[in-house]
Amino acid sequence: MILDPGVLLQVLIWGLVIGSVYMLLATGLTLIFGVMKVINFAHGELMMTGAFLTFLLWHALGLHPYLGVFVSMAGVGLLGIAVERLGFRPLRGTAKINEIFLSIALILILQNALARAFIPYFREYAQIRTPYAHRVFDLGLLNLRYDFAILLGLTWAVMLGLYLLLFRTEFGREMRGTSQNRLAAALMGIDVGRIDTASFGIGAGLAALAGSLYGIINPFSPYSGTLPAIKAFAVIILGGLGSIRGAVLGGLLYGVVEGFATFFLGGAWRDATAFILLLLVLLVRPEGIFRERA
Amino acid sequence: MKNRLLDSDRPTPNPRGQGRGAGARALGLAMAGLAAALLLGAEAEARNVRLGLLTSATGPAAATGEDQKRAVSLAREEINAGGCVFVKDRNAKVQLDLFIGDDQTSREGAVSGVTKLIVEDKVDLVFGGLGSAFGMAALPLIREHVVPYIPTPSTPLFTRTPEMGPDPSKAMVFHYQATGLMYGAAIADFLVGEVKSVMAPDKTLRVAWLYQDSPFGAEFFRGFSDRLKEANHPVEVVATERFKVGETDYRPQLTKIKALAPHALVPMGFRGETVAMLQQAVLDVGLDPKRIHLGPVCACADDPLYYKDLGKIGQSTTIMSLYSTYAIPKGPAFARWARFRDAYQKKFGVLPGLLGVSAYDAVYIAARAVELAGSLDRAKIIEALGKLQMEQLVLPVRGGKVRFDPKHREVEFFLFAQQMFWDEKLGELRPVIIWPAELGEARYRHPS
Repeated sequence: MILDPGVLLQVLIWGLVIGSVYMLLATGLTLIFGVMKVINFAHGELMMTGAFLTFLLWHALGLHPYLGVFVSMAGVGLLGIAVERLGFRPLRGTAKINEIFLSIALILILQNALARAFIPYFREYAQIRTPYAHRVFDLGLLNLRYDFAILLGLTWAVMLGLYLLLFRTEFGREMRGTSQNRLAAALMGIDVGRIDTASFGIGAGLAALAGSLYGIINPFSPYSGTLPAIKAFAVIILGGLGSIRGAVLGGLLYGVVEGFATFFLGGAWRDATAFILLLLVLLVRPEGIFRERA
Repeated sequence: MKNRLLDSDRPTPNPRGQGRGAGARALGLAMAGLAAALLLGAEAEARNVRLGLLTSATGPAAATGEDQKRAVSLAREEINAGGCVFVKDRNAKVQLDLFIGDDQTSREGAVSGVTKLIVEDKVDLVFGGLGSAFGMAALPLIREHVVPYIPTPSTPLFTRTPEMGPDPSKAMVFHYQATGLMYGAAIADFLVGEVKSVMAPDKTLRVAWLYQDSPFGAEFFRGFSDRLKEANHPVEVVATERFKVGETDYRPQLTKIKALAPHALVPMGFRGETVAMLQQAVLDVGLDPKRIHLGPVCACADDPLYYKDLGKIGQSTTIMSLYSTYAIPKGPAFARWARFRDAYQKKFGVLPGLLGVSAYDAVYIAARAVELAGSLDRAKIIEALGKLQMEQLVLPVRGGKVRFDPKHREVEFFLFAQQMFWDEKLGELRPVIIWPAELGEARYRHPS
């Protein structure tokens, strides 16, 4: 009964849905790492800032959640730009540990600011409710809520937009150039500081999108970003550090493995199995599925 | 045997009279010490009863911690306004002082919170708490300092060994909360007594559990399965799925449960987790409440926000309760509920939740124990708690008397089940008490 195709297809869909969130989060992380070589540990908190911003726009101002998602992406993108300009840029060239401590400080600042603003009103969890929460597509073997279909569609639309930006524009070429060789890019006249700022802004915007979509399908708290961010780190290692393709494939693979592990082995194995997958991949391909392109 | 201090090691007096000076200094020091001791004694004599609430003032559970803080401050005000606490060895009525130890919603925080209460605030008794894991983390320090402790989270491990026998090393702990074992047993009795006749009248009742992977969730399930064996209930447990604390995506487990076609699903987690489980079960996975009974959920979910957040899909689900946010059981024993609820709402503008109520009661229990002990001596308070017997407070107890049974130092609470119905006028769910028969306003109703 539990091996019924409809049931397995349903579990696959759950995996792809949560995998899409990991994919967005990992893509933002890998973009920042690829260009700036900075590991932003506060990426999960940027994700939750995005989720709460969308929640606030919907709950307090009545803005449609799917419009709020874009406002939130822009808002958190600007926050990312500010963090890069005021936080990471002054530390460039100093010891790596300074960047690590800056991102740890950001975790605490963002978590506590969100907790202070939201917990008194919404207790442990908040959730964004769309007008489609009760609507489902009947796909024969399974029913799919509109929100899940929108989440999948929106994720891929944004990923397509990012692909076009990176591979079909002059700006994307400069960004890839900076990622491949920062010094050479600077010598070629590329304003690498501007590229850093843009990368951080886009990465933060993607985190906000991941958070907002996560907040539409799951309840969330100011502390909910920590685990997805750890998983996003695992995804970029799995996919290959600095590789966007790796983040996409790694994110989806991670979500699907996690879903099936929970289904067959139980919730206790949810996180462990996906990390076992990471270890297995690293044993065979220590550089990840996709090697970082030089 | 030679006394080394009095004989060979005694310093030789200085022949030029410096020894006399040293003697004078020693006398001066002794007098200063005596004065200090007298002053401290006077302070101890004058000081109030110091109660330490260990709760989550910060972190994810801070809002529930706020409920406890409010309820406790209300109890303190009532007791102080009502003539304070009579302490016999002072021959005086003494005010209650409250100190907060913040567990920061973490085990590490619980250790630092209880250290502050014991070492810095020098409390006479520690009480309260939301999460079993946090209260358990504080326990070693409480045992080390032999401080009377009235925990309000649900795990029976507060007073029992992992094998569930009484634990003599925790003699200072008096548990004031229905335990997971009690809840689990009541859930089994309720499902067989009320739900089976509606969902599976001529068959074995097929039940699935989806519960938090923690001592909290495990003990609810343990209480349930122990009761099935003990009462030989006609129940088959078809799934026992678990999830980690803080997890909010239950769809893979719910999909599996749906495929196993149980007659009832018991979702066991904290309020936010329970709301998410029920919503995902109905909206995402497509569990049909007409074919599968959803509940009973944990009493800890019974909070004003639960009714608001769950929405219409919570219709016909059930809660196994100890205190209800909106319903009040029949009978004079429950008159105090209404008084407490009104006073709380008047003072804070919101309704209390179960953990606030248990902390409120715990203040009264602590005050009564101090009166019985006639002293602020911790050992005497522990002894008094062991012998305590007082009228039921807000939470309902069997026999109408609060007493810690000598075997497990737990209170035998009176649990009841409520079913949810949608109130069009309010636009929110409201509960009706349906079990046991002596409290029930109605019987369990099928969603159709």
